[in-house]
Amino acid sequence: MGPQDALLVSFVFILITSLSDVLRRKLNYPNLPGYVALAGMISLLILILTIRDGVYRPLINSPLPVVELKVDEFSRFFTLIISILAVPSLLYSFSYIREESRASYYTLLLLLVTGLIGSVFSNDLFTFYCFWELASISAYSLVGFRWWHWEPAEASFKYLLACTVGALTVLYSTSLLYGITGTTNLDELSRILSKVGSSQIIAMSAALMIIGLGTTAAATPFHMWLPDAHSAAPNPISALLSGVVVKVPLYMLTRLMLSVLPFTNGLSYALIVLGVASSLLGNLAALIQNDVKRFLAYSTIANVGYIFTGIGACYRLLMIGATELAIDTAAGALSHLAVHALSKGLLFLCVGNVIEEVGSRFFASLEGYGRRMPFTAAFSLVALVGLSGIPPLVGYYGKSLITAGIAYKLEDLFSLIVLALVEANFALAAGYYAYFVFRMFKGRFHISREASKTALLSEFFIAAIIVFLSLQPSLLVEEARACAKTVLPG
Amino acid sequence: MDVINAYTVAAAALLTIGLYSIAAKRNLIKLVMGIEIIATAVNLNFIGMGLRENGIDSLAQMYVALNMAVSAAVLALALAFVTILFRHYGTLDSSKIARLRW
Repeated sequence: MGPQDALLVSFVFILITSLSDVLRRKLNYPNLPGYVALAGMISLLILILTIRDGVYRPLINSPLPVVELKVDEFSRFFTLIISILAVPSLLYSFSYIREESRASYYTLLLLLVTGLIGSVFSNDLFTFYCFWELASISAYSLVGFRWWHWEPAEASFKYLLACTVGALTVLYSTSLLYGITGTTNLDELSRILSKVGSSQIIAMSAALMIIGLGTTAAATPFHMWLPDAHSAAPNPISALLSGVVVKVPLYMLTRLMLSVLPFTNGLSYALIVLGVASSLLGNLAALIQNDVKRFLAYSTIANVGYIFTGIGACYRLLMIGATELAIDTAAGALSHLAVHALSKGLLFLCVGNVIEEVGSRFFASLEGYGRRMPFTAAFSLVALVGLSGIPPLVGYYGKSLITAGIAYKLEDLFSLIVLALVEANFALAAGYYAYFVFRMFKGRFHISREASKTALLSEFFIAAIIVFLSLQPSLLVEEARACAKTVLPG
Repeated sequence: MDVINAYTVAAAALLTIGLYSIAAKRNLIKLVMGIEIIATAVNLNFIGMGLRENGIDSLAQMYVALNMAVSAAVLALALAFVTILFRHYGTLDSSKIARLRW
């Protein structure tokens, strides 16, 4: 029993989901593909949670040692985040997707989750690329699912253009690494590269990796696709995109930068500058948005920026030899990643409830929903509190660990400025989350109907996990620290 | 292993051409062509990197075959979107289409 069997089961369910469309028409049972997809997703998740740690080679008899899947603490952590968010999004879609073509929607959703889980498990850069393209192609089609409106059509083409170029940049860099070492396996690469040491071509391929993965994760100069794609996508897809699709490139970036590629002096600055610039731009642009989904999307860019900064700080600490603190900083970045994935996913679903009732995405039309839709309001409050990182709660720990990593040995002006900017960004973000809460309860809201029961159930599921983590923050931080220990050298 | 040879230099040139066409061109079809040129550049780079005395490394050949399949899938989807955008706007000029800017 290995990850390849779980992925195979998932592919069988993908086939059944797409075929169940015929049965749906015959039996006149509209939601059948959704139930099949839910069964597929749950069986995939159960299979994944039972897999033991280790390295798996599905094509054992083939002469090419290419397809290699690795299950360890770190990939398990990411699959857990993906599964916690994927099941509620699927459940939410039951009442949300009413189109005739829903079988293709559920098929694509299952393909997206399978691709993400495969890319997290892959221990080889080319396998990662293949699974990542599987996930991306389904994500482009899902963003453009309502292609008969102009906005999704245009946003998904933009998304396709940006992210394909990003993925191909990653592949080009992979080919450079292949030319130097003769392999694309991550363990082999790290073994050979530690002997070869750093050179200009390796530094160049590392920089290309940062650019390519940064494009798919929406770091600042390459973020243009994200607000359009997130706001034009169907609500459950926005939750998945913001929660996990932009996080999987960060997974690969963490592994590559911190454990595989040799350290180069300039790259820690590049990572930190990219991170600070994204958080600054994301937060400032979020302030001026009229559209609530664009507002949340820009806030996602800001949070990706914090995680980038955390990875960069960890890289710098590893270079100067402060391993203990580097582990702490990586744990901070990872726990912030988890908190942001869950809270932002939940917030997108909650805002989606309101948008469905009102029929508009403008901030002004959402004002006052807190008093008329009590359950949605309660869940959004949980998400906002999780995101803002008020001290005793879970969001605070990730942010404080990242700041501690930056603040270590503050002798140059650069790190001082970075520290000030990161702190200012945290304050700015907390400020506009508070403003969001204020607008939730202020003003007149005409509709007093709650969202459907399945939507509320799926939101309750994520909210319960956030509340549990808020009461037991050490659980998440310790888990993130264990992940960081498996990735970091020494 | 020799990293810099005629093939990898040509691949780098192709990569530049592809990136230029994505950055500078306005026609949607030319943007899609830019993606395909970059994919070809990557394929050529794999071939150049896999060059050995007795032919090309089998690993590189397999990568190229798989990448051709993947980029064909992306191409199909991209062309589908181009068709949809053409039906919406009646033009392929991206400066007339781009309603989504900030």
